[in-house]
Amino acid sequence: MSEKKHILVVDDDPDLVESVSMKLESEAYIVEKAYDGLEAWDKIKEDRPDLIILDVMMPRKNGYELCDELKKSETYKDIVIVLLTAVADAVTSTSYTHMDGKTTLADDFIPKPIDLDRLMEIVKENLE
Amino acid sequence: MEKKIRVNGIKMSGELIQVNLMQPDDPKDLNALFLKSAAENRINLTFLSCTALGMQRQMSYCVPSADFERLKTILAFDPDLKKNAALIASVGCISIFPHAFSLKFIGLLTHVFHTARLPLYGIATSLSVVTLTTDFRQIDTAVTSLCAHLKLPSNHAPFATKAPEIRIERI
Repeated sequence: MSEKKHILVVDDDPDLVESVSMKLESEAYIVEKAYDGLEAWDKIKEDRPDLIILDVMMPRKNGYELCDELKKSETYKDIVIVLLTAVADAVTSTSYTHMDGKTTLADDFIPKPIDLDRLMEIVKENLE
Repeated sequence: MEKKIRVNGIKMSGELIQVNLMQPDDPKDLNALFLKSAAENRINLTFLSCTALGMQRQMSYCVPSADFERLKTILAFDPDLKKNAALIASVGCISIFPHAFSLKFIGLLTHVFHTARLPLYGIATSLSVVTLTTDFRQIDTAVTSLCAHLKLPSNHAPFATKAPEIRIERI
């Protein structure tokens, strides 16, 4: 039997973290939670995850910054990162777009609102 | 010695105005009217909750204090809205997570507010968060009083954060 994979869920919306975590735990993943980029760094150093589900727009350190730091780090560059991008085309007053999610060093991305079944597919594909 | 309850974080809102809207026993849906007017006037709802007792129902809407003038315009627009709405100026929301579906936790929060003689204008839970509304001028006292009973992670996110604001300019 394969070892259980560790996943870190990072978002400043506690309800989103909880709902994603519940789904992942139901699929037998081991889940850690963090609520901004700095807290996530501490969790990563404490217990290196196999995959990170990472929100973009967060206080203190946003998802792009954390993603770039991890992917430029020799120690952590192999961790799979799935970005959550929240901003729809209808929103014009922000610089965040879905395309930004694609052009970072992240391994994959999924738009909000999250389709949990699609997220599970992405997680499985990236952890195989 | 009392054991502290472990939580992952606390969030404080900025200054808000709370609108308590009673739904009278007539077919006119005041909540639909209020929500339509709020959307048309591009007023964000920071927090909303519903209190129901039998057939009586009250919705509570918290909106940023910066939207006060637009809020007054909405309420003045319809006599029934004006008659059934009560405003509480200068409130703040404190959100604590996760509540872990613990009644003891909810009891602790209300006990802390009672002991510190803090007003509690509303309380509601979502999937993982419990949110309380109180007087904005006393929000720091409320958080300090709560923290005496809660254990937070060493590097938790700051309580008061300026989240990136998104205002949809076209719908």
